[in-house]
Amino acid sequence: MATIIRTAFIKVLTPGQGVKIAGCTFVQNRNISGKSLRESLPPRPPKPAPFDYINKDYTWLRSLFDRTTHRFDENTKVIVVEGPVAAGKTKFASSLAEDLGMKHFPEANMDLHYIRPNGCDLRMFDDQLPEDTRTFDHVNFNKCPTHRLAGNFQIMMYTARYSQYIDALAHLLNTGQGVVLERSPYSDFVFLEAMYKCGYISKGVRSVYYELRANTIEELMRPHLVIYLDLPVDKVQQSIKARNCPHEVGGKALTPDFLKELEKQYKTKYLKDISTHAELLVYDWTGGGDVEVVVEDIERLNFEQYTEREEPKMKDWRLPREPDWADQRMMFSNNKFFLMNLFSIPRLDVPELITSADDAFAREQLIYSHPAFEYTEGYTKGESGLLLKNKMPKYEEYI
Amino acid sequence: MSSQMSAIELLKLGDQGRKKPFLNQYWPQIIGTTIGVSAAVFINYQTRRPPFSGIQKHILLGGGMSAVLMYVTKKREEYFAEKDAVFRHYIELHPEDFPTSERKKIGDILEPWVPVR
Repeated sequence: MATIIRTAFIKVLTPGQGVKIAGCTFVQNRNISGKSLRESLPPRPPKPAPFDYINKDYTWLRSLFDRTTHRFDENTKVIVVEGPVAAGKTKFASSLAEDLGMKHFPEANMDLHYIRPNGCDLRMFDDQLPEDTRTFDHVNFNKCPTHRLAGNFQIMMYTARYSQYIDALAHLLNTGQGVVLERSPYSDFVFLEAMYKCGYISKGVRSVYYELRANTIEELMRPHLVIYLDLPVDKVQQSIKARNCPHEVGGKALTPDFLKELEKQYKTKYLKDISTHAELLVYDWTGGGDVEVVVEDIERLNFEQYTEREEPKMKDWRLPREPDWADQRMMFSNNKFFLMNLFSIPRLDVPELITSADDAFAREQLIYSHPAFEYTEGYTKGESGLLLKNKMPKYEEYI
Repeated sequence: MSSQMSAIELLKLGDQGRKKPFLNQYWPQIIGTTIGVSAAVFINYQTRRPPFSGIQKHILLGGGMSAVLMYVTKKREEYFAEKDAVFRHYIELHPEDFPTSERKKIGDILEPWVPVR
């Protein structure tokens, strides 16, 4: 009786959605389930259809009817696969995603910046551009790690990972499907530290990087699970040779010192920090391993055991009320531009991060005078139905 | 038809069958369409789209601006018509307050000029 009165009392006193407490119902606990376990269990009740977040905005009005947590199930998790260079992360992550029924995001790279939504690759302008404004990707970095643009490359890599992580979170919140990522913005600093240790970048770049990181990283929701594929440095060198990418084998960047520092940063800083929030599984991946074994280990993890408000584990994923979930979902689905604008901190004290005005102008002139870049995405000359087309891309990165 | 007319005659004069010039008659449509369509073209320029893509936007903005200006013109004309009607009615009710003034020559109004040195 007291409960009824209390419920009624709260319902009268709290306006709007305040009464809805997400996760107040008692549900039997179910951990992440792999393919074979899912098939052995009776089918789940159907979920609401995925929301078309790529083309539509998740507005406040929609949030009143389209509840975010209704699409969630035990496999709605963010899993990040970490590990040294050439450890076999991509293969592992894609088969893990396939087994758990999650979406796999291949590792972010500079293509995220350079391959534009209209399909053109900015690298095609390189031969006509001033040297400082040319593209600089991982191939260039491996060839010449002490290049002036190496610091800028590392910061843009962080930006790319950040952008991809936002997309992954938007996918998770709008579809209820889990995501598997390879490396994350949280672990990107290990490369920065390794580059700094080897003298590829200056102290100034490092300070800018950490300033940007501090300004942006708190906005994201940390992963549920981090899987670290461990490989000793000599094995890493072997597998780099076995992979036989010309820029890696013939390059100057991946020295034993670099790889050692990478491993050290991973183990002493990254894994230590992230394990306060996420579950952590570390595997010795020398000679590869079996995904099904990992899936079995994941199935044994209980993500629901942390319920205290101040418990640091899974804290980012314990949002008390439905509107909080809606807020996060709106942020990642509609307001990516806001998050990406957090990177615009003007730091003028690091010369290698600055392009001269003349060079930047020359670059802008050259790119925008190309017919493919005259208009925004989807409005290139010669496309059909341009007269009636009025839709703008949801998010577009500046060139 | 000039200064010898009384106030009530002037108010009842009407437009005497004259037609409004083209610009006076259609300025809301002309200005409204110009402003609306140029606003749409400007929006397209700022968002890096071809000038006339999304033609529905141009039509809506042009039509909308014309409608707003036409409404404003209509309201303005109604306001003046009502003011004249009020004056007319008042004069009809109080003809004694509006006697027809006697015609005078300028020479009768001016006082004789007496140079004083």
